[in-house]
Amino acid sequence: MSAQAEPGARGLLRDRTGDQRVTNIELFFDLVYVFAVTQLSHHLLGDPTARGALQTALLLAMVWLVWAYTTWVTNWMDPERLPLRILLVALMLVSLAMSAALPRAFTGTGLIGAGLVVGCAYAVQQVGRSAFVVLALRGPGQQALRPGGAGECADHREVK
Amino acid sequence: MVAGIIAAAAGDDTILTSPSATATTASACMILGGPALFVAGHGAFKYVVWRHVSWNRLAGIVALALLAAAVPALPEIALAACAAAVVAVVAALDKRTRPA
Repeated sequence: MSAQAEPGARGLLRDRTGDQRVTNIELFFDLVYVFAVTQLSHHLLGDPTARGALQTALLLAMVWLVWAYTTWVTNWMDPERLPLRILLVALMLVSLAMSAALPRAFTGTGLIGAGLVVGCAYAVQQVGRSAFVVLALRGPGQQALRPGGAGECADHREVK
Repeated sequence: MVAGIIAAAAGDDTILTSPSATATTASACMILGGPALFVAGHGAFKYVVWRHVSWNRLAGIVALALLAAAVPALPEIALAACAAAVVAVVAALDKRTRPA
């Protein structure tokens, strides 16, 4: 039997009882990645060789990992809460910068080249989001994630 | 699947800039390889989720590979039209063979 899943008891975790609906901010976040995919096409167009294809594949893997891990976080934590919304907006802004730099990621020149922007943006997002989750799950959230706590799915049954 | 879409989009852009040009190796890879990648990805998805082997998709990939033989003879836009036809046939066959 799951514990009462009201905001106080579950910290920043999503309410996993009842209907699960995707929130508008999650959709908005995905929109940034539509732009990223377009930029990846442009990168492939810029260098339509086998090497260019491998470079595009690497960049796709980076973009994909940031998107997938962030989506995973919003599966577990409630994007309607303010700290999560701030996190998502921050990630969106950094993703936009990363996407803008994608077409010239391997050929950019200058003091702050496009490659550096892509690499730093990736690192900042992965590390920053992970740090946020570690910090955010202290307190009631951590309690809720224990077996039988509010973080469990509604249909969890205790095995006696 | 996403990689397939990226490649196909790049192919579309190539065609838009010069519609009646004959395909180069690179653009043929994008125009035929993009849809092939997508179909392969979707087939893998169906297998992982439903343990269902999609022969339609395997046939589609073979058809796209065979189209590669026609590359020197056809303009890019015709190649893209054929690729689109193959994908459409795969989709139509899907609808026909789906269990009730």
